[in-house]
Amino acid sequence: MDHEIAEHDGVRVITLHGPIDVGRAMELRDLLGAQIDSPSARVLLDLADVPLIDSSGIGILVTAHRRAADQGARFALAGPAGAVARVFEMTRTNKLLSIHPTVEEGVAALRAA
Amino acid sequence: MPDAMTIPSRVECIDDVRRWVSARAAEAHASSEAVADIELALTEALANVIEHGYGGDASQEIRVEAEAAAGAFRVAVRDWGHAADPDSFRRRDLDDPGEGGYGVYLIEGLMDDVQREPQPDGGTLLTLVKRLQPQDNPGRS
Repeated sequence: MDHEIAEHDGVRVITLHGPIDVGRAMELRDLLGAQIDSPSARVLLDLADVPLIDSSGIGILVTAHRRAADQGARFALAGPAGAVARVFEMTRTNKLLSIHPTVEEGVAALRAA
Repeated sequence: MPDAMTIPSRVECIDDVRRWVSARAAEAHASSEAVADIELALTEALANVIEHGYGGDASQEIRVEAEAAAGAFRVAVRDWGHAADPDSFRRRDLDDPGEGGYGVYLIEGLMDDVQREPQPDGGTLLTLVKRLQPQDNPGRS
């Protein structure tokens, strides 16, 4: 899955490119599992360049959120737009996941955590 | 006659058919929101066929038809697999977010009409219908 990882003020920002569907879900699970690797991990997933997320992708994000919470790490999302934002609302996972409008706001929220 | 394409029952092939259907929907002047809804519903439908209909057997085929007619965009997904009872699919309790069970819920929420018809020679014909709003179709007045 096309992505970059950068460090912003102690927060690992993973920028994804392209759709998240069942063909890529396992790769995303492994990517997040490798990054949410300690209680001190602060991981922000930038979805601004993701045009589609399906139910398997939603499931991976819910699991990553729970795994992070269980180990005391923090995991958040930034920049979902259009169809992706709507899927979070339809599935009501926007109530569970930590979702921020921009990377800057996500980084600030995770640093404060 | 609707346009049609046939893909192998592999998740890696979902991209190709999604792009193909998306282009047909855009040609029919579907709004970008309607195109996104069709793309996601189709993705979920194909994943269900591959996972449930064919049980992960990657050597089978899925035929997809797409056409715009009578103010709606219709996508038909034909498989020759096990005719799964959609009522047997796990459905997510939305008050209890989790890993799975959103697929059928999303398909039904995104489309205006969804029909599942078991076929006499085996398999299922799933028809997804998205109504094109008047502003979706500026070619008509």
